[in-house]
Amino acid sequence: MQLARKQSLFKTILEYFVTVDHKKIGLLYLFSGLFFLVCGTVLALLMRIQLAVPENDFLSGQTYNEVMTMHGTTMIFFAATPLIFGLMNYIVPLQIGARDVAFPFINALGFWFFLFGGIFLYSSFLFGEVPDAGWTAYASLAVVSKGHGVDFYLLALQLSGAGTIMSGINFLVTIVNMRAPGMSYMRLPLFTWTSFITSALIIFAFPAFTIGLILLLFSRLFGAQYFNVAIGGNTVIYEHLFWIFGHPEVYILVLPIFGVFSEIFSTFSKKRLFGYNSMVFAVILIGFLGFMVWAHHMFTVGLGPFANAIFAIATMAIAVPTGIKIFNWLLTLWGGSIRLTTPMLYGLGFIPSFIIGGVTGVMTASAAADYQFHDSYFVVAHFHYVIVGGIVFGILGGLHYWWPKMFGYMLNETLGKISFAVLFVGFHTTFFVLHFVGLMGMPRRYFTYLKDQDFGDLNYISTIGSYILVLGLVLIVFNYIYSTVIREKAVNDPWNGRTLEWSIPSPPPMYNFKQVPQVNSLDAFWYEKMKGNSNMSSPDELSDIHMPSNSSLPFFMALGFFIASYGLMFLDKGSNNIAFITLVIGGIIAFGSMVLRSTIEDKGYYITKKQLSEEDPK
Amino acid sequence: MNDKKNTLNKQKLNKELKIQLLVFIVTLLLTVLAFVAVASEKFAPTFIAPFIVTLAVVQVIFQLYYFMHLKDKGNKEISIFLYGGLLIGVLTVIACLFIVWL
Repeated sequence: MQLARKQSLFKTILEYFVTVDHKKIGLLYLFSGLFFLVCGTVLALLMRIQLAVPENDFLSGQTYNEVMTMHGTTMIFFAATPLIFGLMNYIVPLQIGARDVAFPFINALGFWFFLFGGIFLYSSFLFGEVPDAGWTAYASLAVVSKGHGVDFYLLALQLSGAGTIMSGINFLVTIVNMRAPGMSYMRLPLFTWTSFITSALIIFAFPAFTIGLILLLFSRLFGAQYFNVAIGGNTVIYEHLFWIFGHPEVYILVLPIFGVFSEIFSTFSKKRLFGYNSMVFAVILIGFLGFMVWAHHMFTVGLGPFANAIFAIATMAIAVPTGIKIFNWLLTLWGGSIRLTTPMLYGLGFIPSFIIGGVTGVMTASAAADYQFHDSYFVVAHFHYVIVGGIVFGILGGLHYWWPKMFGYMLNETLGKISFAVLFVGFHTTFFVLHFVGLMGMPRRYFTYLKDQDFGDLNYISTIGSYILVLGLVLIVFNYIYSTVIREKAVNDPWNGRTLEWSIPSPPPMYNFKQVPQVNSLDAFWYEKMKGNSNMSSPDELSDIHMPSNSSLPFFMALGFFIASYGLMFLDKGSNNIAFITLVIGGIIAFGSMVLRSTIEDKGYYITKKQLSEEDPK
Repeated sequence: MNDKKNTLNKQKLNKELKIQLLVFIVTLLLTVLAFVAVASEKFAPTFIAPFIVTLAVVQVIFQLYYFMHLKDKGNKEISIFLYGGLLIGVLTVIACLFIVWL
């Protein structure tokens, strides 16, 4: 086996198409996530330019709706989700001492489904029929939306949703079954714990969304009448289905970020995480309560005071476990020997930003007050504080933290700190003023406002802030490129880390652990370091390593469904031959790949002991 | 030593087989009972519906615990997720029915 041989560029690219290695799939997730993040940012800039001055005509109303819908959908489903999945894919198996995820093939399949979903969504720009019903696509609007725009949204999310569920199941099985000896549940690093709970939320929450999308899809494509009030349908049912999924989705995104920051705070304070047990308990509680609060998005629907009161109280209850986490982080910092590295700065910036987002969250959770806040820019400011101040900071901080492990070279610290400062200032300038714009009464999702409404000044400040925010993001991307060119070599454990991933070479070899490590404590690697061991010991002797073989089938399976989706969408009740042929071709590719997967026997291959010992044991 | 283990295993298997057969017969009886309840036309629908649903729940439990071996050791995680999902699902339905719609 050629483990460390130099390969041609073409071969390397080809390898990424057929890979089932969790590390390569993690990188694929990360880079496609960054790509969609850039797309979403450009759309956000377009909106901010349009709103900078009153009665602007930079974008027309229809275009603004399309840009707004695409921005929301992209950022939640095709930027935040894959970036988090990328981190989870790469780091979780390393943290639990596993050689790969439980189902490497399904892992690859999940990625390709996600990517083709994203490409499908963005191809709507080529067809000139872009989704325009908001990222929620409420049925009353989405059913009557003209053209194929909303169909692009529905099928793209159906594709990527299938991929997400696959990944969720995969992570659950991995964390349950593939932990290293001695790694009990209460010794799992917190990032792994949060990934575990997130995966559970995914498999419980996504089916509700899938059903909502199917009902909407049938209404649009086949003339079903689920949402037609005139003949006894109910459009509110879609809102329920959407938010039964949609609220847990918020926690799906933010919980792994809590994990990332727990790792960062504990590493850079040189202390064990304060209140580990209560942190785990809080994550589980947040996950559970996340399912019991969906109607707080629907206070103004008219569910009645009783329902509103119950959901308001349930929502405020979530502030309790979240508060536990915040205090635990602060107490981790307390008395620690703090190093102000870039990841730590993201962490320190995250706490106040996220608290502001949390406080406005509790404000909107009071049903009576929500009648004022609802559908105003106050809500926009609230969730951008949570998503940018929480999730984006977490992803960028986590990337900076694990970058040396992933690529074997450090990111530039000075550039990292400067870019963080710019990002932080830009973020607060953009979104802080939006609170007041909302309180003054500017409704969200409107493409313009009038001169005498007094929204002009604050919106102008917000637009300037968004330029600074984008400058920060550009600096970060520049740092990635700059550091790649400079290649300041990273040691195995550049941050003096605590968990297992720092005990192996950077970047890790394809089999991760030459010998599966024996875990003796929480913060396993730190425990060994304190005992004076520089490496993890292993209960087993060096032996052959069984590896899964690469496969191109995941790519073709997802490709098949991707092609079939176009056919399905343009079918228009059976009169369209080309669409029908496309549907059939896509189906043949997809189900053909499935048949091949079922019939070809693949037992993987072995990396022998000899090959392992021949390698340079650094 | 090995022989002893084998006979022990055999005894265990025999016991398992008996239990499986017994549960199979009980599930058949429960199914017959459900059919009888409907076919006899002697019971009010308000009785039949909850009765059949109760039988169905019992059947599901038999299915999960005996035929799908949930009663065996090493299924703790599966049970947690099963009941966790059930809890969330039931609570959601209850919330929809009694808080949102009624």
